[in-house]
Amino acid sequence: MVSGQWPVASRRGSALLESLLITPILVLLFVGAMEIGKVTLTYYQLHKALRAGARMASVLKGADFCSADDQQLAAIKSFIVFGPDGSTEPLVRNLSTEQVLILPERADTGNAAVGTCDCGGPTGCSLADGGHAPDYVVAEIEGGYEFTIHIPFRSPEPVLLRPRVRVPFGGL
Amino acid sequence: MLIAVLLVFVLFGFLGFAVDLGRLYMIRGELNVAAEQMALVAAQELVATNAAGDNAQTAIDLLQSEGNDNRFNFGGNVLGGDGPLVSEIGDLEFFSTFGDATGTGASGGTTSGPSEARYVRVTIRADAPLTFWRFLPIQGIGGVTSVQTTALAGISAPVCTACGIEPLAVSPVDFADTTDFGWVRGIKYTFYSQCTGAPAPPLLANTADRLQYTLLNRSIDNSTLDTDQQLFQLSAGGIPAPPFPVPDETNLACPTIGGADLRLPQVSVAACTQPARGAVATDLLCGLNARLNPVPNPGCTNITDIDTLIQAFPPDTDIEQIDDYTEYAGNRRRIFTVAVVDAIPFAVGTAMNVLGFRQFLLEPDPDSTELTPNGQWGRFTAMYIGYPAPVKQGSFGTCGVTQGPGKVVLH
Repeated sequence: MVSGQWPVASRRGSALLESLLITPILVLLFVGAMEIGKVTLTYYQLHKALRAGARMASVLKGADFCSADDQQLAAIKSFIVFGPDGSTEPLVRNLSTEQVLILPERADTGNAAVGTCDCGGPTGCSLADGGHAPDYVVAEIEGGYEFTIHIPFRSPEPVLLRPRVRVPFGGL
Repeated sequence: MLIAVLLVFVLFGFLGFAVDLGRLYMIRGELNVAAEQMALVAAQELVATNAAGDNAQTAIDLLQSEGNDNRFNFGGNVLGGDGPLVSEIGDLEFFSTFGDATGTGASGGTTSGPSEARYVRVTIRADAPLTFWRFLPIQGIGGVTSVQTTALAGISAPVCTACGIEPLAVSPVDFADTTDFGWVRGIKYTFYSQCTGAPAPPLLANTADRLQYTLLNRSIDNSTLDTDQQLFQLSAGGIPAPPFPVPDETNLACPTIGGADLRLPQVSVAACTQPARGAVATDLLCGLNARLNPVPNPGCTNITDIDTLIQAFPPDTDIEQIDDYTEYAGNRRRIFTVAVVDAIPFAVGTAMNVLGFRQFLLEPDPDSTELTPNGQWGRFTAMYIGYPAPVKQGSFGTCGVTQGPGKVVLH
């Protein structure tokens, strides 16, 4: 043995040991990066779908935002969840139309603040009660969307994604 | 060992591409959505007045008022707020032509004043956090980087079908004038409910000419409100979009150029020598009056529950007498859009052909801040302003008009 040098076999063992130590870290790093990417992608998909849905809702003619049976709004919720292709699989896993909220909003008389539009009476947004169209439309996921992160040997808390879009009513 | 160290940097670089770049695009998408909505609300305020710029900024502030405002970074950060991620909503840029707005015109992106503006551009810049790239030994890359996006909105070409307009029809002075139909911008007109024979009703103070109007046939058959209440709503807030008045008559809700329309049967058509015009004219003026005064006029007693109904229609924020339209600083409630038809019919069933849409600015009575709903001939004063304001909703078609109000669109 030359002084100051390990034998080849010993160096190989050291490299193996280093690899064994570094591999779990690298795997965690990759898995973590993938999960972050999936969270980002999911949020992006939800936000994009809500934006498209809110914009569609904001240019509807005669939709009753206070009616749970409004066919136009039901179609938009279906669009947000399933996309434009008529798929039966939601764009985002476990998302359902019941979770999607399309809310009317009204600016107050002083144009100082925006609040939820009432559903009763002529001042509200219910067409059936003599109301009229809202000033803004908000689309969001009721209670947020729970995204479960998958990391080996760990069970982290689900991440709650709360995408929300507010669009002005009218235009198109 | 050297290779391993290099590989770590390469690895972080790739992770940066995978994670940080994705997040940057995601944040940019959020900013873009926010910018688009801001541009849309700002463009609605482009009505060719000096106050349009301030009103556009106010509209953006209202859109972004706390609560359900459009945010960024997974919806966690308020736009325009301080904190670890600084964001900034840039000054609005106004343009008078599409070429200027897109920077493709001969004048190459020249901005305009608010009173000439037909397009508005919103720019948002925000800090975006970096997860992996911050560890790379590249100068200038820290914990955050700047992301910027812009959105452009403006007023479209003229619409062929206009929704949300007021239920009024007037006939042109000059059919050959396709720009203004013979009316003069800035001139105040005495509007009066249709009548027959001479002499025409006398002019109101400060008006130079008169304009005969009738009401479009709009009523909600299945409404819980009576006719007076409905007419009040129609004139106070405009014609609601379909399915109004009833689902199988959706075309009636939004008049279309080239289409036929009918006048309201209840309009009292009598000789012009008889000034009394009955409840319909009073209901109309009560609704128009709500655009000026939040308190019901004493002359509007025939509208049941007017105290409640009027709350849905906030008044204009500028109810001053206006002699120069560009000085108007209100919230557009005084601007009303009428259908221009070929003739005001005497008979109920006679069709009116829609030629276009034009806009007027409602004026309060002289020395007053409101109208006189139970006055004679159903008269009120309005200034002709052309077609500066976008309609609430509308659609294009093959009507072929080149002049008229458009609607707000994103570009």
